[in-house]
Parts: sequence; structure tokens; C-alpha cells
Amino acid sequence: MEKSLTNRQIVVMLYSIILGYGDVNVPKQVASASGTGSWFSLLMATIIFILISCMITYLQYVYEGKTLYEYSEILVGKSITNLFLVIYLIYFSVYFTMVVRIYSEVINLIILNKTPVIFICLISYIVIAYALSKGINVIARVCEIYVPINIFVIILINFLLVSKGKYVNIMPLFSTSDIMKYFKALQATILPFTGMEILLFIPISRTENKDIFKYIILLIGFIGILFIDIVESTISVVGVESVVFLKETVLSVLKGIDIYSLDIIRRLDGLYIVIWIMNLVCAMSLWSYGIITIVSRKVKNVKYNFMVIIIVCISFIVSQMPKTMDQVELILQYNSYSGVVMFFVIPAILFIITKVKKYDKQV
Amino acid sequence: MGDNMIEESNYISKVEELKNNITGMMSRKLYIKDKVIYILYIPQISNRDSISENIIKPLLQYSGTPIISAGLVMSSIIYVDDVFLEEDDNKITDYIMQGKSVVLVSDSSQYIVANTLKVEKRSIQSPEVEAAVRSPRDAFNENLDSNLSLIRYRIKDSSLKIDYSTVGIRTKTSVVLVYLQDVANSKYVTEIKKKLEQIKVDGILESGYIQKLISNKNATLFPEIGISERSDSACANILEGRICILVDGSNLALIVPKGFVAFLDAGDDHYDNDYLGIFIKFFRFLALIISLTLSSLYVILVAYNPEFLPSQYILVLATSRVQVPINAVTEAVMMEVILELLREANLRLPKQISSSISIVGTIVIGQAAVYAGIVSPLLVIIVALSSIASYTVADYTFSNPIRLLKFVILFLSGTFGMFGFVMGLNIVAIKIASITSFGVPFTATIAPFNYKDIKNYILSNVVLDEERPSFLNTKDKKRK
Amino acid sequence: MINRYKNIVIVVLLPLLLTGCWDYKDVNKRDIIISIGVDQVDNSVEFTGEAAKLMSAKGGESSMMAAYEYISLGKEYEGSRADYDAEIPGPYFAGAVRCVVFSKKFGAKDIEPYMNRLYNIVGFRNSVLIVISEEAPRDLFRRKIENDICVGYAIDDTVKYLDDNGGALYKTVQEIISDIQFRSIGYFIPYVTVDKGTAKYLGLAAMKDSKLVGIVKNGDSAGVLFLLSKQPTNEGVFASSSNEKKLLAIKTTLGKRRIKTSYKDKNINIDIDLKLKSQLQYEYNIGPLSKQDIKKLEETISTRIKDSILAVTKRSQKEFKSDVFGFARYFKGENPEVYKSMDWNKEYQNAIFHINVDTTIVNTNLLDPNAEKQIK
Repeated sequence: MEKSLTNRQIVVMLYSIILGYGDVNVPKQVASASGTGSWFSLLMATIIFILISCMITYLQYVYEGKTLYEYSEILVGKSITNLFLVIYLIYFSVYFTMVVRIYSEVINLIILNKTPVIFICLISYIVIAYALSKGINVIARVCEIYVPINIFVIILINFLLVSKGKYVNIMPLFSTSDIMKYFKALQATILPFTGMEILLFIPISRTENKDIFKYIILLIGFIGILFIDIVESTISVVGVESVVFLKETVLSVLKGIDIYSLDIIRRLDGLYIVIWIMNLVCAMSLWSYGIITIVSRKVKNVKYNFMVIIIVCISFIVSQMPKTMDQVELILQYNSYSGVVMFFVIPAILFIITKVKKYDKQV
Repeated sequence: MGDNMIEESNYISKVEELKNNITGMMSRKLYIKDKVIYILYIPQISNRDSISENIIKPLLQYSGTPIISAGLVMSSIIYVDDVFLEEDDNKITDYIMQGKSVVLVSDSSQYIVANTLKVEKRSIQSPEVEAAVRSPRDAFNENLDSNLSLIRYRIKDSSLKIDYSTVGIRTKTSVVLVYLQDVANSKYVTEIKKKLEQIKVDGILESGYIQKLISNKNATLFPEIGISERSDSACANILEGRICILVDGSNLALIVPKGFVAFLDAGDDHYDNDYLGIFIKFFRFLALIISLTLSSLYVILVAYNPEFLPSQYILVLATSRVQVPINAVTEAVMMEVILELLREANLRLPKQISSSISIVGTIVIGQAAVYAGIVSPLLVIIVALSSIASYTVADYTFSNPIRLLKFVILFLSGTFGMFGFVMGLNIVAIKIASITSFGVPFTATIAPFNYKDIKNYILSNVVLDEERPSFLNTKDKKRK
Repeated sequence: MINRYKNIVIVVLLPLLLTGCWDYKDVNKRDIIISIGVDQVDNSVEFTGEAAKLMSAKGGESSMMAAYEYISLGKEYEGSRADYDAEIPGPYFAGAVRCVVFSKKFGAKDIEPYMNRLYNIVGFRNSVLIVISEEAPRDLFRRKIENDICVGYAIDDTVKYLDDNGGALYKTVQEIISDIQFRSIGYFIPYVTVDKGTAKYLGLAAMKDSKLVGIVKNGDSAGVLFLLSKQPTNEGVFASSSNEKKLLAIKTTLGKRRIKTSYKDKNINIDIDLKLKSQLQYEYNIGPLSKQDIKKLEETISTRIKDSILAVTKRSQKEFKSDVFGFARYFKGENPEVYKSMDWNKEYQNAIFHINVDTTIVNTNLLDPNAEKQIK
């Protein structure tokens, strides 16, 4: 019943899920680790992630129309597949619950100061449940409508930030004595880039998605350049020493600049907040789509809508469990480290087995 | 065969029976060369001149062979152009109710059905719902034949197919599908025909009934089927590969399947200046957004986050509201409700009084409310602007859901500020993206994105348009 | 089944959503602060400033905006703010603040805690102007302003206008925080007063470790502006070299500015290379100008600017004892390893400046001073 997704739709879905919670803290985390040479760490991270995403795409391309669930059964057997699925389920669930919670906390801090966080979470979950109940095709279409607007606004805001920045703040661009520091900073760049493992659960068809490799390489490259742009523009406005103290970096920096020539829209953070909140729904629907796909393969005879409601209710309750924002951030940090397993180790295992057993020649 | 034979003996009883069953039926009895001929018709829906001139007169003046059978009468005597022979006794009532005249010839197993239908109908007038500056002004009227003639004189292709069907148990309304056979996707045709056969209602009074009955769901917020009042826009849609449904008794034709971008397209973009067409298309989209969101933005900027405006603007906003006791959300909702009242009142009033209503509206709402200190002047401008913006959509059925969703977004942004506003927009976007009109997604050219179709749509240039829109999956892709 | 439950759930949830508008407050019911002034009185902190007074004229006509002064006293910032909260009719709204004024006393004490407070207040825009005023803020805000709505607007508009034209420095909260967190540099803050019904820009106050250490008057601040401002402009009168009595009005703007730093022989070397563009505005008495005159004039202008810069850099080393110009940023950018191993504050006082100023007189406006010769 569901039509296959076009190249563009897959690409915009990946964009929204990677930038879901990634772009807010990128300057702080990367600049804390590698100072003004963050562009270098991010560049290396981009290259690594391009390779990883090529590997994942290759797996999906070889087993067309199938997702991880089906072809890993062929490759490694049912019990290990179940183990994989349980790991992925926990990983997606943690992201789904904790990121909505932290989004709500940040919104509480910035614009809705007296509203209890629980109600912001409630509204978010209702909208996400509504999106999820419509199916992946609808989510893909909503992302496709929304992502060009997002890209346009982010590029515009970066451009305006750069116009207020000073070149002296981003010097030194590269200092050879700190090169080990740049490599160590790769650890901090994992969290912004997580999200592409959802590709393992989206079926690709060979006819519709012929040029998918080209598109995905371009996408990850573009996201990398966008991150570098965001980091360097915020550093150029306030300097590295200030950036490391600011949590929601772009937003905090935007509060401090006034572009007088734009008159009525001279305070840009309103626009940025709108774009940022819209990102929440797109990204979270995709994370929860991962959960639903796994659960619906296992539990076969429950109606789809009913499962959506159950999962959203459980996630809502779980998201209220941490008491402080620090706890949530810690959970997210550890989850991102375990993301290395998700998007690197497991696909690498399957990739190697595919190559060794020459399944790709058979199919 | 035997009991269908209308013997002279049960002849008269048959006529009497029909007279009792059908009120208002008239019967003319003629004696032609030892045969008794009855002409049965209903005068209100028959062309009485045609009956006198073309049936009664030649029969009375007949001086040919005395062997008169129904076939002879049909082929050699009566002048009416649309006649056929029929044998089924039970269908006589249906034919008479449809406005046809039935000629019963004694000793004949068949009877003649002559089409002498004449109903009161409006003449072809200017379109009222789908007005435009540069476009032909022949609009559909309620008569199916006139509508079909308006389409047929524009499209003279032999592959133009017209499929009749009858819907409605008591009204037996003719519903017609018009499409190009070698262009339109037959999947849509078969699906619509299937749905039409499944309809079991008392009566179809307007194309709106058909629209609701062949839609997928029980109650739809956004229209999945477009309407068309002008024959040139209906023909343009037929040429693109869509299917036009005409309903007897309704002056609005239905266009299936129609997507979001097609709702924002008015005829004169194609006929008029190219650049103006591009500009106006963006304008219409912007107007849609404005009518949906402007009041909510006012509420957010006044009540939740004034700091998004520069300092002087905040003070201006505050001073404009200083004497208003009501809070911003209530004020906005109240003004919108008043405007909806005005709108509805304006529709129902006779023309002579409507001008006074507009004066009352302006004075009451505009001046007096502000002067009395109930609403702030800025809000009056905003609400009026969003109302005007909702009129710019070409197809008015599309602006109706926008009026409803405006209230939803207003409530959400009144409760949660900027966050509620964005969530409301998300809900609207998800709703729009989830509608499919006969398998074609509602947001067809935007998502999934097709560069060629978007370019063709925005440019609307018949010189550059080479292919039909791909989402319609037509059989013939190229426009010759 | 699910549809029936869905309807019940929606009906139950709806009142939940409508009961709470926790953050809802109309802007005219909030207390809109326009300017803030901070002073240290004995041991307590005094907040003063202006809040908007919204008056409505009858019949919905636009109303005149005015401002009333408020004053509150308390221990620490929070105590003073609590004192203020006790006397206002609506919630505190800081999004319309135009400027924050510190008194000299408060500036001398330490403004870093208050800057951190400002940076993190909810709703406060970090792009507002910070100034230090000559008199105490409580006197400043009582004075009447003739050419603007209120004192805060007047100060902000005056300094902004001068900054756009290269006559002053506009310092926002974010820029100051950025300088404070760099740790080894100081910064300048505009120094203003309100006099005879207008706000007046008096000069720049130098801050070291967020404490006021000195003031550069407006007339002497050409050097500072040519080092720090984006489009510095200087209008001056020069005497022609050939004839002492001939006075020429010259407007000088910055063409290019390059600052290079290096570390040689245990001394910081700072090379400042300025290329200036000058324009002859008019002559006091029109007379011919030869090419040599122009050349000599260019040298005079360069010398004057160079002396001004030298004077102010010397002041920063001897009197302020702090790198108020932010040269450390350049040094850190160009020599990051050396920077890590030195104490910039100490070494800056022995820094050697090499200043090179080149001026070109690009045009003589629309005036041709040599026309007389041609007629004769």
C-alpha cells in the first residue's frame, strides 16, 4: 500500500533526524574540545560519517525492499537479530524520550517560563503521535515541505551572524601543536551526527532510488559544512572563551545581536525558535518510526494505531522520570557513545558478512 | 411476449392505471386508420409545441398505408429526432417521469419513446463563484445538456468520452463522467464508476452530495475534489488528464483528482501576462499563510513574547492596547467571530440590503468598537487583513477549511504561545500531507518534489508546457 | 472501538489545555522597563531607571508615551530587585530596555557580577548598550530630555548615531561578556551625561578586570577609535604647510587596518599599520593647493593620528595597566603557543608599539582649489 520513497524524501528525512537535536549544542561541545580548530575536527568527522553512511546505504541497497530485520536474519540468524533489535529498540527509545524532554526543558527556559514542562511534553507527544499514526509516507512529505525552509533560514542566520563577527576571533585556524587535541575532539562530534541509523529501517527500492549514493554523500557533506558554518560563525561573534559557556549556543548568541537594517525583524531569535521547534516534530516522528517498525515486526496482530498510542503513552511517562536537566543531558551523552555501536559496529558486521559470503552478487 | 402485447382490451386499463399512478400525466387519444394511438406525457416537463407539431400533426395528417405498426409510426410518420422502440412494459412509468413522451399503438407489442423533454433552465450567465478578469464567461448552468454542449464545443476530439449513469433512488439524477479516453488514467475512471454504483441515497440534489459520497472518508476537512463553474477551466482540467463529473441540476462540475497546487491556480494565469502570473501565484500562497496565521501572530507578540519586536514597536503595541480591558486572545476570537457573522450575513441577504450591512459592519466594528475602547485599532486591521487574504484563493472551497483551522491555531497559540503556534502549524501540515485524492497525494508537486511540474505550474506558459503533470499518471504524457 | 475512545480522550484533554495559560500576560499589563541604572550606595545596591507610562487619549487616538522614574534599594542585586518587585503593578518585562547605566562608583567597584546577571535575565536582550555616567543614575534619570522621549532613548540614540558615524564606540552586553571571559584584556565603555536637556557623549571609560581605571575624553579618543571602531571618522582642521594662516578642514576615514603581533627578545611587538583616506571638506579661505601642499598635508594628518594612537596606547600601558584594546586576541591568534606560556597582563606593560600611518587625500570634494590660476 505504501509507495516507495523518492531519493529526495529519504535525504530530507535524514537531514531532519540528524539535525534534530544536533545543531543546538554543536558549537559548545566541539569548541570545548578543540577550540578554534573545530572546523578541522568537524571536517574529519564528516568524512568518517560519509563512509559510514555509504556502508549503511550499500546494505540497504543490496537488500532492496528489506530492512535490517529481514536481512540480518538471513545473515546472522534469528537470535542475534533479536539481540540487535533489542539494542536498537533501547537506543531509539532513549533518544525518543530524552530528546523530547530536553527540548521541552529548553523551551521552558527560553519562551514559556511558567508553563510546567509536563504540559509542553504532552503537546509534543500528541502532535508526534498524530504524525506517526499517518505512516512513513506522510512523515516523508511533511519533512519534504519543511526542510527547504529550515535550510534557508539556517543559512540566512549564519550569514547574518558572520556579518557581525570578527575574523580575529576564529584565529588561529590551525595550529600544528594542537593536532592531537583535534583528533580527541572527534568524540564530541558523535552526538551531532547521530541519526543516520534510521536508514537501516527504511526500505529502499532500486528503481526509485537509483542515485541514492550520490544523494546521501552530498547530504552528509552538506550537513558537515553546515555544522562548520554554525560553529565558526558563533565563534567569530563572541570568541571561543564565551562559546564554551553557552549551552544553546546559536540562540544565546542571536540574543546578543541586533541587525538594525532589517528593522522589524531585527531580533532574529524568534525566527530561529520557530524553525527549531518545527524540527522537533519531524525528527521525533522519525525516531519513533524506528521504534514502531521494530515493535510491529515482533508483535504482529495488534492494530497499528493502537500500538502508536501505547508507545507514546509509555514514552511520555518515561520522559518524566529524570528529575533534572543534567541527568537528561548525561543520559543523552552516554546514549550517543552507544550510538557508535548502532551505526558503526552492527552495520559493519553485516557489511563484512555480506561481502564475505558474496550475498550482494547473489541478490 | 404475450403479456407484453398491448391488446386493445387491456389497453385502456393500462392507460387508466398509468393515469392513476402518475399525477399530472396527460393522454391524447388519436384514431388513425383503425388504430388507436395514445400519446402520454407530462405537460410540465414536455415541449408541448414539439408534441403537437412533431407527433400529433404528422399522425393526423398521415395518409399512407393503413397497416400501422409502432415501427412504421416511428420510422415514417413522426418527426421527432430522438425516438426509439421499447418493449418492456415496466419502464413506461420511468420514461414518462423522465419527460419523454410515450406513444402507444394498439395491437403492437412495442411502443415508441420520443424525447420531447423541455425543462425551465437558466440561460448561460457569467460565473459567480469562479470569477476572473480575463477568461471566457460562459459558466455552467443547471441543465446537463447545456453543460455538455459547453464542453463539447471546446473539445472536438473523438476520444472525448462521456459516460452516463443514474444516481439516486427517487431523483434518478443523471451523473456524467467526461474525460479523454487516451489520456486519463483508467484507474480513476473505474474507481469513480464503482463508487457511483455503490451510492444508495434518496436523492442527489447537487454535486456536493456526489463529492461527499465518493470521497474516501466520512467527513473531510480539506476538499479532495475540486469544483469548476466555468467551462474553460473544466476543459483545461480534462486536457490535463483529469476527470470532470457533471451532475444534472447542479451548476458546479467536479474535477477529480485535484491537488493542493491546483487549488491555487486560477485560469487567467495561463491567459494573461506571464510575469504577473508568477507573482500572483506566490501572492496567493502568501495570502493563504496570512489568513491562517496573522491573528495568532498578533496574540503571540502581544501576550507571550513581545521581546521579539524592537523596543519602539513594543511600546507602540502597548500604547495601542492601553484602554482595552479584554485580553488579547478573547479580543482576537471575538473579532474573528464577528467577521464570520458578517460574512455569513452578507451571503444570505438580498442584494438591496447587503450594502447597508457592509456599512453597518464597517461602522459598528471598525469605528465604534475602537472608539468605545473594546478592541484595539491594530487588531481591527489585522482581522480585516486576514479576512481579505482568505478571499484571494481561486477555489473558494479551499478557503473554508482555512477559516476553521485559523481558530484552532488561535486557541493553541493563545494557550502555549509560540510553541502552540508552531505545533498548530505542524498539525495543519500533517493533515494536508496525509490527504490523498484517489491515490494522488494532496501535496503532489511539492512533496514528492518534481522540479518539472513545479516549473510548469509556476510559469503557466502554454508555449513551454510540453508534458502533462506526472503525478496524474496519464497514459499520454506529452501534450501534442 | 478506537474511534469512540479517541473522542472521549479528546474531550477530556481539551479542558486540560484550556485551563492553563501560565505565561499569558498582555504587554500593556506588564511593567515595561526602558532603562536601568545601577549604583552603589553605602553597602547596598540601588536600582533606578525608567519604566514606560502608557497614557491613553480619548477615543483611541495614539497616545503620548512617557516614562516615570523608579528607584529601589536593597542588599545585593536580588534584594534590590525584591524591593522593586514590591512596588510595581505587573510582571517585570525586560525586553524593551534600551540602555543600562552604571555610576562611576559602581564602575570602580566591579561590574562583572552584574554583567553576568544581565546576560542571563530571562527576556533581556543582550544587545543593549552599557554606559557609565558622570553623575549618579538617580540624578541622571531625573533630568528632563528635550529632544527625545526619555533619558534611556536619548542616550542610546546618541551613542548609536555616533557609532554609525565613527565617533564613538557602542558596547553591548554580549561584547563585554566576551571581553570579560577572555580574561587578559580590558575594554572601553561609553561615558555619557545628560546636560541641558540632551544626552551628551563625553568619552570612553577604560575598564581593567571590570573596574573603572580611567577616562579618555572625547577630544583625545581619535586614537582609540582608529584602533577599535569599524568606520572611524575624524574631522580636523589643519594648517597648510606653505601658509600658516590657511586652514583646511579635512575628514579622515579608515581605509585599511592591520594589526600584527609577534614576540621578539622577550618583548611583545605590536605592529599597527593604518591606511587612511582623507577628503578635503573645504578651505576656510579658498586658495590654491599645490601637490607639495597636499603631500605635506598627508604627512601632517598621519603624524597627528599616529601621535594620538601612541598617546592612548601609552596611557593604556602606564595609567590603565591593561590591554584595553584587545591586542591579546591578535596575539593569541597568531602565536598561540607563546601566548599560553606568558602572563599577558604583565608583559603588555612592556610592549613595544610600531605604528605606521599612511594617508591619502583621495579627493577635494567638489571643490577645485586651483581654479583661480587657470582663469588668470
